[in-house]
Amino acid sequence: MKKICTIGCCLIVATHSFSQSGTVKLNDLNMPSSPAFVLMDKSPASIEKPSSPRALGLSLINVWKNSGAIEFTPYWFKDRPAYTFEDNLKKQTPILQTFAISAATAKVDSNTLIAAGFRTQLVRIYSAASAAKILAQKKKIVELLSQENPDDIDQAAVNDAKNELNNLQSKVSFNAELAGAYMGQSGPAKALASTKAGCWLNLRYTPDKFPLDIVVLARYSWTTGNVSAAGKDSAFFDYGANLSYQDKSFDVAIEYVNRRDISAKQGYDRFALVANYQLMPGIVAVASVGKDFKKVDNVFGILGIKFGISKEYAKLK
Amino acid sequence: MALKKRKETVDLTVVKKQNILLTITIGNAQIGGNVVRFKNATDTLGKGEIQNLDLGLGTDLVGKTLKVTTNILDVNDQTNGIVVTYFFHNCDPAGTMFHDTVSNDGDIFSFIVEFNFN
Repeated sequence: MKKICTIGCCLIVATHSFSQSGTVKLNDLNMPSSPAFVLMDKSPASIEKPSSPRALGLSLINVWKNSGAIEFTPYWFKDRPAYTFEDNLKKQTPILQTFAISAATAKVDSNTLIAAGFRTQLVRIYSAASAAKILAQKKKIVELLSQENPDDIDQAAVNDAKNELNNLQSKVSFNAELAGAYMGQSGPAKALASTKAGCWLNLRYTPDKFPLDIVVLARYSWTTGNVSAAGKDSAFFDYGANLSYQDKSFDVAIEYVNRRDISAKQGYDRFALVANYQLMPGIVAVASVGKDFKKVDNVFGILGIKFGISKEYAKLK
Repeated sequence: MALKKRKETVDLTVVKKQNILLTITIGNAQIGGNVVRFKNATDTLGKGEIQNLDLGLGTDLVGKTLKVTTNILDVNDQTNGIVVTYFFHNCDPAGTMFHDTVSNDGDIFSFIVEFNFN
């Protein structure tokens, strides 16, 4: 039975969310940043990032002996004196430059889990307009850095300019990423243990002059060893699109995500329309309607008011 | 955001009858800004990105010291390595390269280099 719920008024401190178990949003259709850690189902407390072969050797010994995680990009073990910021921006196939290896070990009972994975960007294309904005931002940073006395550099301004640069660099017109990982086990109970492997392919297209975001994420993982036949393979194919419009006091976004569980031969989809209207500074009316992944009770609607809490303090003089 | 500094001195031999040109290349896909000035002179010869900056005839540079400040911001999240190459056309050695590292993404490394022309 379908259900529509309406919430009259709510105080939302963080971002509004109506996520439910099993829900996938378009923003979730991204690669794991460290595939090896995902297969272990563990988030390491700290990740060592060695920057030279010697440091890598020490990190590997440390990780093996004490459990832990490392992540490194072999291409950058060596300095690249002729590889400039512009070269990197123009590089449309930065496979080597972004080829990152992650590895981790963890003790589980008497066994040691060992996982290794990689992630790389196959294609990265900026539109001419985005590239021009990035280069203009770079020019601004160069001007801020051009001080004869380094202590005269306005570090706050540089930091703001770098954050804006990061924001511009994240707006890639077409992006294709590939990742893979393998997890094995060693120890006395090895015969009872299972191994896992997985691969991910992520494609994202964001046209420059149209507020549309199209994402495809294909995932395949398999397990061998001490598992039931039904749980051996899992394969998902997710795709989605987001269309958004933003004005001074109004924004609306339509999002569609489709998940195909290839192993179970089942499909699910999710649709949501979210609109925000600023009634006055700090007070925003929110409305959203949509359909969730679940087969029943899957239609939702939310109507509410968001109250913003200012971080600025009034001072008495 | 931290700032690290390093001072260096380099001796160069000029080709006396040729103009000396300076190009500064920031590697590792990082971003840097420069200020170029003769020591004890008030005027700045170049600021920002430096490409084929004409420093004058080799004969006129003998005995002078060129002070170059290069401030490099780590914008490459794949590496904290910093590398800069100073290339002087019509000088020996033509290229001088410095390598170093910053501790964290977003840090600044500053090279203050004095080039003595002989």
